[in-house]
Amino acid sequence: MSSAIENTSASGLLSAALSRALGERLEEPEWLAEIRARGAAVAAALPAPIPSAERPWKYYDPSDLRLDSYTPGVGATQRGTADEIRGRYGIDGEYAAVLVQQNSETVANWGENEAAVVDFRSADEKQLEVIRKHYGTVVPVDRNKFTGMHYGFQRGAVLVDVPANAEIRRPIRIVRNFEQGGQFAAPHTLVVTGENSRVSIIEDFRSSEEDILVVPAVELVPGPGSEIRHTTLHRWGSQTTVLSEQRTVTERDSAIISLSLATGGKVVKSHLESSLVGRGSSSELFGLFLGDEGEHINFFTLQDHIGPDTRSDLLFKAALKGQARAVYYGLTRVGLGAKNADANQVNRNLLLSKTARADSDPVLEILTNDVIRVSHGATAGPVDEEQLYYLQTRGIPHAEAEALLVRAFLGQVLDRIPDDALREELTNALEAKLEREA
Amino acid sequence: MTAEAGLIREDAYKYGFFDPEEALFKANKGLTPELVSLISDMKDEPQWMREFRLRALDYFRAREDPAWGSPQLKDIDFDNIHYFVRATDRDEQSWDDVPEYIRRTFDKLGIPEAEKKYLAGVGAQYDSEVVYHNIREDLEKLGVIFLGMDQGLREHEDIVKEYFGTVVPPNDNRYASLNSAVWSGGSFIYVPKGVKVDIPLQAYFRINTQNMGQFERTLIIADEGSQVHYVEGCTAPIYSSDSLHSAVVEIIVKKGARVRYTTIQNWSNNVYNLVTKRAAAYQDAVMEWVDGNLGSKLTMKYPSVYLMEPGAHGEILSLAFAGAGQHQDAGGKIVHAASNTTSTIISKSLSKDGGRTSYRGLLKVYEGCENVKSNVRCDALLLDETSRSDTYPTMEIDAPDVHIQHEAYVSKLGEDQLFYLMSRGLSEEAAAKMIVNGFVEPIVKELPMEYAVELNRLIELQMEGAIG
Repeated sequence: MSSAIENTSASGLLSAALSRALGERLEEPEWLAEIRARGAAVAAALPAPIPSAERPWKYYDPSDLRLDSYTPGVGATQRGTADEIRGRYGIDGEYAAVLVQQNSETVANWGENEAAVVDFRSADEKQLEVIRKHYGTVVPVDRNKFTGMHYGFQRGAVLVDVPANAEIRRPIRIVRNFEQGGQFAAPHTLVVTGENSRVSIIEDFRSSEEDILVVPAVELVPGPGSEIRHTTLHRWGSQTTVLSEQRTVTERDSAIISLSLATGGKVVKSHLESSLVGRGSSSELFGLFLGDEGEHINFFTLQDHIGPDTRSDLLFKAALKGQARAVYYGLTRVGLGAKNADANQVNRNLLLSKTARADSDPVLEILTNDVIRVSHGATAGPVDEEQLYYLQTRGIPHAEAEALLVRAFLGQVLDRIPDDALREELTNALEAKLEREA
Repeated sequence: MTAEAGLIREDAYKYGFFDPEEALFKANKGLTPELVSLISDMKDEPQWMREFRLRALDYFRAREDPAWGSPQLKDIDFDNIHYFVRATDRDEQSWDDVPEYIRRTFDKLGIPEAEKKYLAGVGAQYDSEVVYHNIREDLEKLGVIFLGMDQGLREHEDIVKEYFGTVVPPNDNRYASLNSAVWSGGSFIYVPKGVKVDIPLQAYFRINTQNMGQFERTLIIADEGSQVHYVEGCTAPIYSSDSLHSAVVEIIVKKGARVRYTTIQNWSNNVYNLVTKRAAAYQDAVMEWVDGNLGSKLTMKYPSVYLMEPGAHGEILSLAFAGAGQHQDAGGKIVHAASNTTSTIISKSLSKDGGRTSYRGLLKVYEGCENVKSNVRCDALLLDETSRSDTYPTMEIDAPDVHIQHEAYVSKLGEDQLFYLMSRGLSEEAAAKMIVNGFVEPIVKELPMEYAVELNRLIELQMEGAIG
């Protein structure tokens, strides 16, 4: 990598000098600056991933992105009191803690348990130790050019630190809004939970209608016997491109329950990975996409059974209107040491227009026979004719009957949103989108 | 463990005998334009075929192995292969005229007996060329053509020229390019309008020469409303160095016609089997592939059906059994290029002694195709802890009015099932065999009786030593 560091001729997002200047402005400790420098070096050294050669990129070619046209954001431009911000972003529910960022800078942080979520810049000594131990170890810096860019230009990183045996009843909500056009943003979330604790986190991503490139990374480290519920809302503007990475490495008997809801964005490419290392650990991945116009959602998932007695479940659903395109490419791997693995993987696509497109590629790689069960399924098709007919015979007009069936299709995943107010808000938003004429 | 398993298999591989090499002509190793021209000269081919071959050689040289392919592909040394071995100078019509050492080989394989019993016609290929060909007289009178591909080109150049390379273009993939450059032998079949060939036509492929590449090329044209079932079997002796088999099969199923193509691939454990098989099915036509892969070191083969016109139906039944040192990368592809088309893929795979089976599929529905239905089902059974099974289905759906279903299950030999059968007095081995037989039954029942018996016997041999 030394040759890469010497490569200082690169400009913009690939420039080591620019990355270093950002770190200095954030006054970060030396060990964070080191990771940042490593990221910038990887970004400059690696070419963009090639779809034919790198699995997670099989269905998306990032070489068309004009990386040199983006610059790191300016930070927050609009501050206010907690109430003003609550109103501005429509944060209605009851939360253990709320943290709000605008253009990668924290503008508010409140709640009954606000200490649980903290901007790296406000972290105390103890929290800094947690960050130092885990930051950059779950989503590797050198995984690809974009993880390099992420760590090189990361700003507004947040730690959720849950002590052992803590049971945080209400969800923690992290709202991040990106407004300034032409910006490259690299939000980072690190979640570390102590033994036998429980936490639910809602990551709420939004952006303006400007041309924006966002490369988020989420690192999840559930301690032994603990459970993390992680919900991501992808409510991006129509000109935002998102290349996101999320990875969990489990300890003994821990559980990750991850839910991804996508309702907007130009391209949302999301790589979700669970490394089931700890004995008895489990991973549940759920995804829902309602796509319209030219939106493209692209999920790559890896359920990686490494330790014994591990369990995984997966359900990804897409309902597509207009010229929307959904890609589901998922791999369930059962390694030699993963005795008694139990894995299931399901992808369902509802095609609501002639121009929508769904690609489904659910892959199994099983290296041991000592499995309880490994299965997967995929379907694609329109709304069921017979169900539609049945509803119409009951006097429900065609359009309404169709909407009802689509709602039922989406409901199975929507019901898993761990927050009543938010579930209602999203259900309403989805219905509005559904009713909009293509 | 591995060595032991290898021994079991070698004992079990009854086709492992080899004849001393008595070839009439054996081309030097290595692949050059001169060699390609030489093959064309020796076969006295028309100029267009020579140009087709040379063009394909350029394609082959420009292409790389697919990135998803087995890493073992890198072990193939293209400079250390005999691309053309001529065993005899004629394609005989009478069994007695076939050179004695070749006849002995096919006698051991039971070919002429089978022909007498129930086959409508038989072709036998030894190394690069077809050495024997015969077809029942009544079928010949109806206009059914069943010849070696070389003879087909000589005697029916117009038909061959119209269809050759249209279903699998010479630049389709690296191994199709290779075959297009150096192809030799294979079958040429034409079934005229409305003719139904009620019992199977059969071909038998045998590699004898060491470091040999067999590149047969088969073209089947089923004219409107006709029907034919073609069956092929493949064997080779066990040499210490590897051989390459890289065939191309093209099938045209015209309006209302029906073709079934059955393969029982039982190459010895040192053969790379890299084959492109594809059919184009037109209005209301039915194309069925029954593909059994038991032998070879590495097989990469995905029989395909392109459903070109409304009413066409495609069906793929795939059975793979991978033992020690084997990788069966098999599956099937269906492309729906027209409305009102339907398809089914059923795949069953078994892995044992560290063997690896991979189901690799494609299901594609083009934009504008309405009322498309497809059902894909893949089951894998792992017989021990060291074996591996992968499932790589790919679905690309570009149209809304479709019903696509894919399901896959991977399981181990069930302890409950074993226990139940043993409690009824079966030995563990017999119980395991019975479970495996039940698992593959949906495929085996589609085979002609003789083949079903043969396949069951091969599976039984593979199963030996599976328990304990």
